[in-house]
Amino acid sequence: MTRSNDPSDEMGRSLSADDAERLLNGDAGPADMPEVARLLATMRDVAAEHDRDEAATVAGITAAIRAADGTEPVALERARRNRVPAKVTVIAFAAVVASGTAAAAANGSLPPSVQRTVATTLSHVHISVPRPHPQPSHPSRLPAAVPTTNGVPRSKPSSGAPSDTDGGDKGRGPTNRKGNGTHTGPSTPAKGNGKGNSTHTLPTTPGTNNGNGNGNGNGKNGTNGGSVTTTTVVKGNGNGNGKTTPTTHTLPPQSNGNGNATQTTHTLPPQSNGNTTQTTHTLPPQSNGNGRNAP
Amino acid sequence: MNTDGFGALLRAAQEGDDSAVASLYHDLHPRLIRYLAVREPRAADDLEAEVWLAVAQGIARFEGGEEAFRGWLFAIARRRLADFRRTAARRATVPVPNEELDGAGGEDPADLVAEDLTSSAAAAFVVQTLSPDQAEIVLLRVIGGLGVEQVAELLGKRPGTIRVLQHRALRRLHAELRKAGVTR
Repeated sequence: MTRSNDPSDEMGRSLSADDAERLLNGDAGPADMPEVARLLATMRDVAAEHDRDEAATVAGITAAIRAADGTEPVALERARRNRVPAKVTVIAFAAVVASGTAAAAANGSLPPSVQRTVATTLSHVHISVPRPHPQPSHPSRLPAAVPTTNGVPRSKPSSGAPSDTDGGDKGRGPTNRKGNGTHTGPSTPAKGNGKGNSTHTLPTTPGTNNGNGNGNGNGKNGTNGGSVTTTTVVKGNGNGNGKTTPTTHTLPPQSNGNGNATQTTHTLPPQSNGNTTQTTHTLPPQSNGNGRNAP
Repeated sequence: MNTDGFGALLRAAQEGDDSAVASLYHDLHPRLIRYLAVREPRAADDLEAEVWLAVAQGIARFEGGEEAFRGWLFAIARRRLADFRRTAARRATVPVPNEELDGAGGEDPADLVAEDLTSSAAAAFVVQTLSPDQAEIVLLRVIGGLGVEQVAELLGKRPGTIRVLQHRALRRLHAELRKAGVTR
């Protein structure tokens, strides 16, 4: 068959894979496709494409290779980047010491003179810690610091109104609370079966109630479930079912979240709604959220 | 160049040896600039410079033979090309010289009869005639000098698919050339 009598292009159709490979590799192509072989050979002819400024270009590439080769190994560079400056270390150490002192001050466990100094100092930065008292204003049957939640304790010193349900308490009945937080101060022990983070500091005197909570749980505070009193600063993220047992304190519970808060005895109403400040005493309890506050 | 020869050349180039770098450049520049000129005529020089800069920055970590090196080079070129096109697509307009507009119609297959057919004209004809995938395969195989496996890796396709596409591409070229009367 010749090209002239091959109108249906049987030759092109019969191109084998090997033929195609030879054509593309520049090897001798099939004799019946010289035009394609020529086209590809022309494409492959790159002799005219040489760079007139080849020397300068090569010098630039070489310089770039040497520059790249002169860089530090990646591991060393990374280690240097991750090195902590000494200043940061000192600041971190000071912060740890300060927070430890603040926690102790929040407990009221420091010596009176130190406690007073710390309270004064921290008050300048809007952190309330109890000032030393010879005797607690409300006799408590409870230990000074009782962790009421499970989890990582975080304490924020405070003084003032009782609150135990800010943040972490939302819920039903005197049950349990589970959470992360610290509950310090003269307070009732809370049995936690909830979730959340809460920080409680229980002062002996009513005062400021700074709550910064994020509660999600079921809690019931009050007579039936317990009364958490003399808690002034509550900060935490709570999520759980709370139970707080009643004590001899007479401050109303605070409920923030979805929960039921039952309050029986009041002398100092707490407020817990994020950040609250309690200044007025003998007010009825307040409940924020979907709680029930049964005096 | 045999394997040992290229290995020694590569090691020397990795250490910044001028002659080794010159040898690599002399061997690969024509292929690279031709490929880029076909793909992006107005930016080929700039793109090539970017490719060589990337090669310079990464050659110390490269391991492989000559064919693998070519594949690596064209992989970089394709990435730079894609970056360029992505950037250009965001531009409202791209200035084009009048002389380029005059020849915007592409190569006439009949011109392929001429003896002085340039390499660029032939490549332009391939790009104009074939589908994008087919053209890319032919360009990488013929101009880049890459094998089926490397092209498959670059394009993210299976080698069998590449073989099928290149086979169809050649048949298509054959048909178009016949139609234009190019029978030599």
